[in-house]
Amino acid sequence: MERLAAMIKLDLSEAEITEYTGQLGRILDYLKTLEQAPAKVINYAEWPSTLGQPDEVAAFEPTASLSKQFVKEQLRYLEVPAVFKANKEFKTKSED
Amino acid sequence: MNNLSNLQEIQNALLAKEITAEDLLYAYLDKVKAEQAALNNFITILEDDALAQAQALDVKIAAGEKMGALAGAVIAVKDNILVKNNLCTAGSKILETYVATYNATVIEKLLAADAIIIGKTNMDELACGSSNQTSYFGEVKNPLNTDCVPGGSSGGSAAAVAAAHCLVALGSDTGGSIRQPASFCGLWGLKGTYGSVSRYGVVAMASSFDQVGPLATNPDDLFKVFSVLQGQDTNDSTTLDYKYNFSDGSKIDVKKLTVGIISEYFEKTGQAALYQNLVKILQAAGVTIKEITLPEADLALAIYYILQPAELSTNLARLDGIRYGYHSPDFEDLNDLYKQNRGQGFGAEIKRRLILGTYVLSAEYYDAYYKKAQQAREYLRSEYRKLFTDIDLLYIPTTLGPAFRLDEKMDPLKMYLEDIFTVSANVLGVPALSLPLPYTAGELPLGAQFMSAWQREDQLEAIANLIYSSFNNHKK
Repeated sequence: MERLAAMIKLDLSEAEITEYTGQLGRILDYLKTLEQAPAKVINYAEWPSTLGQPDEVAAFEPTASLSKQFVKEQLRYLEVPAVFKANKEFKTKSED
Repeated sequence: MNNLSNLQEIQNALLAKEITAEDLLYAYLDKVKAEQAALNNFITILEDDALAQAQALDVKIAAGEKMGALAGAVIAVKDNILVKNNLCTAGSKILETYVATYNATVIEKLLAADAIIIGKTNMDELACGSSNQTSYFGEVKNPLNTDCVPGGSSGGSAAAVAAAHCLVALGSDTGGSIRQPASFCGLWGLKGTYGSVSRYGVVAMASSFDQVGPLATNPDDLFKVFSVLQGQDTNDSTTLDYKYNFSDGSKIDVKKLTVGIISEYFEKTGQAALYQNLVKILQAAGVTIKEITLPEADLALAIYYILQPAELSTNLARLDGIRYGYHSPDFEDLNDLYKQNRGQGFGAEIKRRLILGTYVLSAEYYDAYYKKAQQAREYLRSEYRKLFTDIDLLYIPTTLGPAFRLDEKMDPLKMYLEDIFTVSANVLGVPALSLPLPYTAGELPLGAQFMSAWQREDQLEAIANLIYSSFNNHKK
């Protein structure tokens, strides 16, 4: 439960963790009803797999990751690289 | 003004100069202001905007200009639909201060048709709930019995129509959120085919299920409003290229319709005789009735409660309180700010569904739940495609019973199971109508539900008109 909450950036109290853990168990038991769907009609092979995409709570280092995108720092503001600089089609009206 | 019970009568009175749109608006506003504290069905009342719309209509009528299709229709809209420059909270603390910067497509369409938008209605938080008790802005009371819930998540909209605070209201229906409150409040509610109405400017809950639709006191007003809302929209790529016109249903010979019923479902409500009475009315009108078996109601519910939280958890990732919305005053660092904003901004039901959605999408359980539910959804669609070659309409109850009491404590799973008859239409994407079975004052109403094949709202209108006239004849 703590790992799930961390993945979706949700602050949960101890009481909430206990409550949701019990409720989630009962709900998931009910959702096994899904097994009623006849397997022979369903072609599982056609569906993409998540193999190779493990869940992880990514390390969160905003300063380090964001600063890689910054060209330079000016006073309190950070300048980012221009996206459309080389393409005249994307010139704004004020540039004309 | 109490004698003006439908839009046709209102428009006749406007054209005959018996009333003005401004008078009409204030008749509703006075009632809203007198009863809002008791019912809590509005989050925002749009008095200034509505007055400007009413006055503009009066000028139009005085100048002899042609009125729009919804001229004089005073409409309340659920608070997850954006109305420019007004609050749009979706019943959540995290959006408590959010002001819409543009109009939803459905709002643009209502205004273009000369409707008057009176206010934004209370709702379950972010449309998650079946009782309107998960709203951050407090529970809504059922005008038919204030000890009971109005249903949800469009509970404020249903209460507004039932209390005559407006002529029609818009709700949104992801798993029954128009039809269930319509049933609890004795109203007519319609969810069109998935893709019939634009979702542009509607706070997303579960994007492959959500549809906006009307609630009204009669089928005429219901289908008139739906005909204005329906249509393809370049701002919503999931909208479909077909056109339903009001009164398309009148072209249908009901004697050629076949309605499938499942008697076992009627018995589950404990009121089978009431549901069977309607079967007799249909038979007397020449409709063919066919008993069918449909073992997949449980399956549809399981599919829904896997896919809906999965889509919800994805859609709500955007609500982090950084650019807009609730911003926690206390936090340690940026990561903690996200967690605090969301932890304090969301209520218990949202947190529960976010966790469930994340769980079924996680790598370890994706195959067992999400993937399997998507496949089962396709299986169910193929089964219903076959079913709708055999029957035209499916008639089942809307809910297991009438509105429950406000103080009735329900386990979340039990609350989810209440949606058993409504979720199929959303899982499949077919249109569905809930209509009130006859009831007497003091009783709580029960809803009958009709589902048709995709894009056959005209068949629903035909059966609705037949039943409405039968009920009215019976009253006489």
